[in-house]
Amino acid sequence: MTNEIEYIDLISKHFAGEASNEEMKLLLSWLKADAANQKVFDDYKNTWELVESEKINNQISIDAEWEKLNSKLFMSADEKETTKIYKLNTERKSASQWVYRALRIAAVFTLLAGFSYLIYHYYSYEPKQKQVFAQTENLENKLPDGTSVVLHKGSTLEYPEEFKGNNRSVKLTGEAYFDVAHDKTKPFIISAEDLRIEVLGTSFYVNSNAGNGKMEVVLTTGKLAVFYKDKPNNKVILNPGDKAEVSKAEKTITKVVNEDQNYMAWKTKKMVFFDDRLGDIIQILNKVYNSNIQLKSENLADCRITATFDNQSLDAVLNVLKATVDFTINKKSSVIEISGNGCK
Amino acid sequence: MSFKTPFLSEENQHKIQAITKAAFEELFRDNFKGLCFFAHKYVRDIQTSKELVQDAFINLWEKREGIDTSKSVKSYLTTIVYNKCLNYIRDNKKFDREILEFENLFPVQDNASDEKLITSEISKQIKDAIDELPEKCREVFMLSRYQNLKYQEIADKLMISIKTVETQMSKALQHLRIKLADYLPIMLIIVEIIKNSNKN
Repeated sequence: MTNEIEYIDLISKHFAGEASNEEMKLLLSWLKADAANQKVFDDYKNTWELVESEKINNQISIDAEWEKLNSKLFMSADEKETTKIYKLNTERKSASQWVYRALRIAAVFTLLAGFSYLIYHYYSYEPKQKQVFAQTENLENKLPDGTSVVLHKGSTLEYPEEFKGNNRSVKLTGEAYFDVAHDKTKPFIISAEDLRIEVLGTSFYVNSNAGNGKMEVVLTTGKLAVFYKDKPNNKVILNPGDKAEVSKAEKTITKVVNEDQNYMAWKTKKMVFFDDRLGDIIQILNKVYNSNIQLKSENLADCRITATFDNQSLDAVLNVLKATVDFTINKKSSVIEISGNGCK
Repeated sequence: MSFKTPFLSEENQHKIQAITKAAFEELFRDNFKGLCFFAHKYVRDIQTSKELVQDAFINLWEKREGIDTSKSVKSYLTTIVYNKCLNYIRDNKKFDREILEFENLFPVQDNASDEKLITSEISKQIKDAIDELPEKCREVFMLSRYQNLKYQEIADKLMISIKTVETQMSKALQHLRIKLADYLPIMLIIVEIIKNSNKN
């Protein structure tokens, strides 16, 4: 098999939809030249499809697709039905129309039977648990009740395909922002290890690994209660702007005023720095942009910076900082090194 | 799952329609992803695949009384999706019989919904295999496969040559082929397991 590598380039180009007509012809003649080549090709094709199917599997939500079809198919059918009935009533009824009418009555029973079946079905099965994992970037997700969740990279959320029973219970590992759909009859409860956060429709931020064995809950709007699963009577109530600091080891919950303006920056890329240390800013940037910026000169860490950024690229942000502090940026593949003389 | 279920006895006409809708939903839930995956082989685009499969289900629902229940509904669905795919590539891309042939996309498989779906274990293996790729290689691969960028766009974004993008893509594919070799032959068995566990 001569220059197989070259053909693997071609094969991947073909799968990625990048191969030109000439390249396709080249690939075809290579395949026909030797049965072994077809075997190599099939192996790559299977590999490619395995990876693609993983992607498809993760990117398609059956519930959402079914909703779409349901509204297309069954909503419009109902509308047609009513128009037809209206027409029938305005005309004199022939024998066949009476049959039609009888069928209609039968249809009503059918629908009733249908509903009772669905209701039976609804109460008789346990909804499947779903798990979403934000592997490479923030992941926005709608839950069955309309609640929207933005998961930070590396975080996992578990929830049922359908919220049954008298509350809406989900499980979080990591960091997320929730915008909870309002439903007074069904409290929304988030479990993060032993901590429970109970809400009735609000938006807030949870970080179940805030570092140093801590968790954080910051409330944006609404009202919520934070408590430990074994102490449901010791609830700490948060109002907008409050932050609950939770120590996992001591099992304490402390309410403080949230002073971190940038707690949502990983989602919004909006950052406000007011006389902040460059060392701290770099840490925030690394989190927001999933970057690996390293300070090579220690005396830079204490430089103070005041600046506001709104959804700018990392390059743009670094350029602004560079203009303020005067450092040099050295990009080495994934690492960005920053060095300079520091500030007086 | 076919529409010929034991529930549909003659004397219980009232229930027919209702169960048919429930059966239709079950059919949809069991087969939607598999059919999308099948369509994706032809059209290479998730959004288009989803739309084609949605259309096929609408088609099935509209013809639900006229279809031949001696054949499985699945192979009926597969045929509709297959025809829709061919129409799509005819209208939107160049249609090349030879290419379809060497990719084994001719003739149509009987049950597209038996297509490989992925267990969480394999899903993890795939993620791990991608994570193991060297930094640059992974970056190129992710931009191409998960963000749908063209080679040229990747080259521009990463400020590398298009030739480098090509090389990195094929490096990624070679690595994945080796890493996932164990999973290639068992893909069909997995489908069966998934389906059976879904029935519970």
